[in-house]
Amino acid sequence: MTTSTERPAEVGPGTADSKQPAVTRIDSDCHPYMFEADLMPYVSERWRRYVDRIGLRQQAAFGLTIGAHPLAARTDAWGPNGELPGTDPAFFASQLMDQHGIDIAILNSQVMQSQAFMGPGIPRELVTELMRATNRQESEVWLDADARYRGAICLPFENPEACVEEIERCAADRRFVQILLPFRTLDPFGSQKYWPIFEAAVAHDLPISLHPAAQHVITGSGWQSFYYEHHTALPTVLLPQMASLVFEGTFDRFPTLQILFQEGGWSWVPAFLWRLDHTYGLLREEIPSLQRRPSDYVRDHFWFTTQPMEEPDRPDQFTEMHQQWEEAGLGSRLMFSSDYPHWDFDAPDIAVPRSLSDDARRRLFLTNAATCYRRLDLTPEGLSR
Amino acid sequence: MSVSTPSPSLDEQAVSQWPGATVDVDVHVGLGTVERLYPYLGRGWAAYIEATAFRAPPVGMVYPPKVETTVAARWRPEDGSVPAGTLARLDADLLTPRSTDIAVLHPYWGLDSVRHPEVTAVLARAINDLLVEEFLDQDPRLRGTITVPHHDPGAAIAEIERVGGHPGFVQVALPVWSQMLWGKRIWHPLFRAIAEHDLVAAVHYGGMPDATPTATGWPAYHVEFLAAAPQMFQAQLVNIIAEGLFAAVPTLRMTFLESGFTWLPGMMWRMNKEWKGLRRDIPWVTRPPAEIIREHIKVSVQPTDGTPAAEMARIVGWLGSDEMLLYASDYPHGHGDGGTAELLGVLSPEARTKLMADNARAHYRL
Repeated sequence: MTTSTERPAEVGPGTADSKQPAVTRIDSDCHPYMFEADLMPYVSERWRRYVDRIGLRQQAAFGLTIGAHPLAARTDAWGPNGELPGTDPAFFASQLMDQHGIDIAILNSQVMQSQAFMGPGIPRELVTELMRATNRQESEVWLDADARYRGAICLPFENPEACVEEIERCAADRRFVQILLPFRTLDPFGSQKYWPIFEAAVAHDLPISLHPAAQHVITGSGWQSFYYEHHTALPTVLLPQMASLVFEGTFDRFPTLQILFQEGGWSWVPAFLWRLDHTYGLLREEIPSLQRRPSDYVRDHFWFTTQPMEEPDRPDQFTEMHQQWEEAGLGSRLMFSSDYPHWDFDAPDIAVPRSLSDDARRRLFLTNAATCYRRLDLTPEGLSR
Repeated sequence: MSVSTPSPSLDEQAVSQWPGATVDVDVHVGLGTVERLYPYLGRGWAAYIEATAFRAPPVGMVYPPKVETTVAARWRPEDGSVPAGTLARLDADLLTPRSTDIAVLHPYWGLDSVRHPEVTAVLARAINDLLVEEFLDQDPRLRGTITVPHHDPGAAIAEIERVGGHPGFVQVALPVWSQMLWGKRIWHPLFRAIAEHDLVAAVHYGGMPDATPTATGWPAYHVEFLAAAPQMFQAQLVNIIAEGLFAAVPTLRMTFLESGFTWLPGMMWRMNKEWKGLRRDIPWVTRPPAEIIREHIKVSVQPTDGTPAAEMARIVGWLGSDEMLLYASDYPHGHGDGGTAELLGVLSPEARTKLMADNARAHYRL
């Protein structure tokens, strides 16, 4: 058991640090980037020709990138020979895993989330092929490059039948440990139209991550104006998604389904549990068949990742907030994530407050992820050193 | 978890036993169908509307007709008349039992669901005139909320200029689920008019714009919609700060009504943190967003989300100010028992007085 004073010191960007922390560290959210040229070798002639002659049509949310950092990346994430961020598996491994003592990194493809080729207004067959291409590229270029990488299956989520086929194809490879979807599905995610995805996910022990993506309009009152606004308001999408999954009875139908919320904050969850339970108390006649209290489903079926780390006004309020989190029964549901190579990257030794107990840190870096990601085949002891 | 609220409720007991002054900033007036407005419409418009299919705005999406959260069972008149429809009923149900010193009335009717621009403006005038004649001019305890035609900033400003001088009006209602986010520059002249008339901009639960209420389509159940309703306030809050509305109109005061407030500390933390990383995007936001929020925005306390008393103390501490919360009954909506009682239980004596009256007095200049 390590203590916080024994953490390895942070080192400068780009330098390797061979010091290993005593606890196995899992990073549940980092981003390889795949561009059009990387994917086209995996796309059929029909859709390659489409992309050649028509081009990929981006989603309107890209209008908000006027305030964003180029490629949403850290300025030091370009490789030594000018490689674009998130494109060189070796540099990625060195800058993230070697330097920060990360033992396992779960790769959430940036194509899925950022270029958002899977949304509305794109031919369904093309979306399906692009998602399959993403998964194949991730497998051949990334997972094969370093044994510490694990993969996330990207899906054409508005085409559940194609999703099932792609889950079946990828699940044969145990290195794929989760399914990755954008926050913003076209219908509330508890809607029965998505249930075929859930059925295939639970059949293969795959938790489903909902992660921000640049897609269609994010508020019920139209477009926002600024990247700041978009980035800050991300949790707003998750309240209705959580309510939908709970109240549609999704977890009564799929008792082993696991859902991750990534990059959407987590300090809001305890208060939202009170509100879910309270509102249910007022309107339970609307859904008489629900089997449990809403908050009980959240404790048993939802996971949250840390980045961007919550930062209350004062450090003692972080302690209070974390205490509230534990008291809400959520202590086993929070996992570390770095969001490398994004501009708001959280370095584990800096972003995770030193006030957290060794026990809480161990759960954050290892135990919770070992439970959530059953396909990692990890014991709570983690990896042997 | 009972469906109907017992009477008198915990909150009612706590508030009626409260020895100090009581200002209730969210009291609704029920209007029922459009016939109620005929005397204020003029014969031409009344005859026109009478000949059409329109009887009342379709507000069922935000207020399903039969549920407790729309009208508490104990406040549904046995004779089938409109709940909260008359001054006598308000007085008997609420003002006298809770020893209310001042009540801010809000006749939420769902007017923004009417798309006809002329009719919307005419109906807004009728609602405001009814409120003055039948309520504000009848009882010195009452203050009013101006209804405006929300889709048209010019018409909304004209209505504020028409009635804003009446001393009884203290705020302008704006639905949280709005056609465009309220911080957008197109609305700044409207907020300037609100501030110039010494009124408060009151962003209230509800609305019926063109878009779906969430980024992920239509919730199937009302319980989903209502539980997640703070997301609409969060989106408005972030937009209002990011657009620099309070820099553009520095004297503007704003209230969030029926927003809940337990989500607010966490959102203020996130707004501050993201501002540190992205402030070059919004350079007119020259201070941490939470500071601006604490200075300009107040929040009504009902509904309180069923927050346990011990947690209430934490949340109030994290707000970083005892001057943000305003007592409200939200009559005749029923949000279950308790909330205000727990809040009174954890606040300091000074903060209790602020919650029950002083914050509202300062904010609304009562």
